Amino acid sequence: MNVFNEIMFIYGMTFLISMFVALVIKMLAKTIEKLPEGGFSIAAVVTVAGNNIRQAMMRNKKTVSEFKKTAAGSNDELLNFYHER
Amino acid sequence: MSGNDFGQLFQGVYTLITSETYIAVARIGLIILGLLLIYLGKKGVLEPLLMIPMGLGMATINASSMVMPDGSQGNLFVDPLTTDINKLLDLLQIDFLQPIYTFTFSNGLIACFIFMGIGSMLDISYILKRPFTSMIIAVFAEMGTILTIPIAMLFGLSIQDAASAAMVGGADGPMVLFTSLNLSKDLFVPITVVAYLYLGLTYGGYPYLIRALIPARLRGIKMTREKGNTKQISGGVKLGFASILCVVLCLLFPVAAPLFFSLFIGIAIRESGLMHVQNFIEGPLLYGSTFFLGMLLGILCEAHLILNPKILMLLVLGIVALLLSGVGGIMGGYFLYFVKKGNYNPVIGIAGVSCVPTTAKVAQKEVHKVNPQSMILPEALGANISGVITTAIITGLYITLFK
Repeated sequence: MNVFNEIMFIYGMTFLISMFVALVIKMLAKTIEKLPEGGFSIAAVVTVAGNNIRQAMMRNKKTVSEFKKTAAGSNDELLNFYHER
Repeated sequence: MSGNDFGQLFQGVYTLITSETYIAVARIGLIILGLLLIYLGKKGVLEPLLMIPMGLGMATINASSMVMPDGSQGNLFVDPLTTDINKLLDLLQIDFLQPIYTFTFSNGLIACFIFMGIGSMLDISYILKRPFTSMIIAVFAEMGTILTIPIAMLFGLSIQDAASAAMVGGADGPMVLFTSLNLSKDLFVPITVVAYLYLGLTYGGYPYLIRALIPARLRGIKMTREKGNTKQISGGVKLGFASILCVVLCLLFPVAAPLFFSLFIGIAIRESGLMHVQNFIEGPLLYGSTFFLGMLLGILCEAHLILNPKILMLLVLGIVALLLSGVGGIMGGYFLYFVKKGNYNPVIGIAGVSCVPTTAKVAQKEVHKVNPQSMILPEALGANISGVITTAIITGLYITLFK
């Protein structure tokens, strides 16, 4: 039983780390793909990363305003919504 | 001329006659096996690059046993079991292969050199285009590397020895050498020899496994690719990928950092366009290291050293590990076939077994036989390279958990 647990742990860890690596590869490929021509400078990386974050924030903002409009929830509900996000 | 003089003159024959029967039989058997490996290497059945130096080394070491000044039997090649520093310093000046063994083999440097060479030949754009599918296949194909542990423990091996033997399922020679050097000092010679012998057989054995588990109708599937997947990936992206992934993996598993570093430095050199260095790594360094590795593995197959009661068990475990990994890989292929609703050739699964690039070539060859229009090599190479990464991850896990 002990060995079985150990084996399952190792297989699980291998799977998780491999998926993490795949995620890193995917994100890396996507971010570097967006870099401007010849742009491996820190400024270019920061700009692309910044744009990604801004876009994500915009999406989030939109969702929150939709939430406000439709649910017209209380402040507590809104706070919970933020926490969940 | 007395019998004693004859013995002094022809010490190889003398030690053969005077040693115990099982040793004498083993020496003759290993000489024949060595010669057979040379023959099979020349014929192309086994990898000649490794098998010819290994076969000749094996035959030679078992022929050249002699009487040492203290009356024991030995040779003038190498003594891998010496731990006494003073004796080692003497041996470094006497045994001609001792410096190579001590300074490159027993510390894993030769495995790292080979890994650098492998890295410098890898085109990682295949994995960059489809990281998740490649990694899923690779994880499935590690089934043998993991499930062989409980089987080996049932045979009575300790968890360290079991983990080292199970690494054969990863089908990655340098990784087996690195793990067994770290976990299983007493068994690393037979485990590594078994691993390299079997790796030569994957080319011959896996096609039968594919044909047995995948019907011709599925083997001939021609996949349609997404538009984005035809785009070229620049060298800068690949260099960035290699650098960051190397750092991430080293942060996770410092014990396997030499292997990660070696693999990714090879990729980084390739992608940074340093042609002279790349030519050196994938030429003289890789071929030189493989030659010395093969030769040393052969030399280490000396009867006294390799006649371990566990060798038969290791032979069985090695084939079980490779078989399970192959089956696991094909299961991964089937899994993706169902997930992608039939737009995935399950044969790619076998390429998750990280014998770069052999298993990818085997997969493409088997598919081509059924449907010459079907090209799966890019996907197979992606799975193949992911297999190297997952095997390195498991190496890190094993050394961290079991050392």
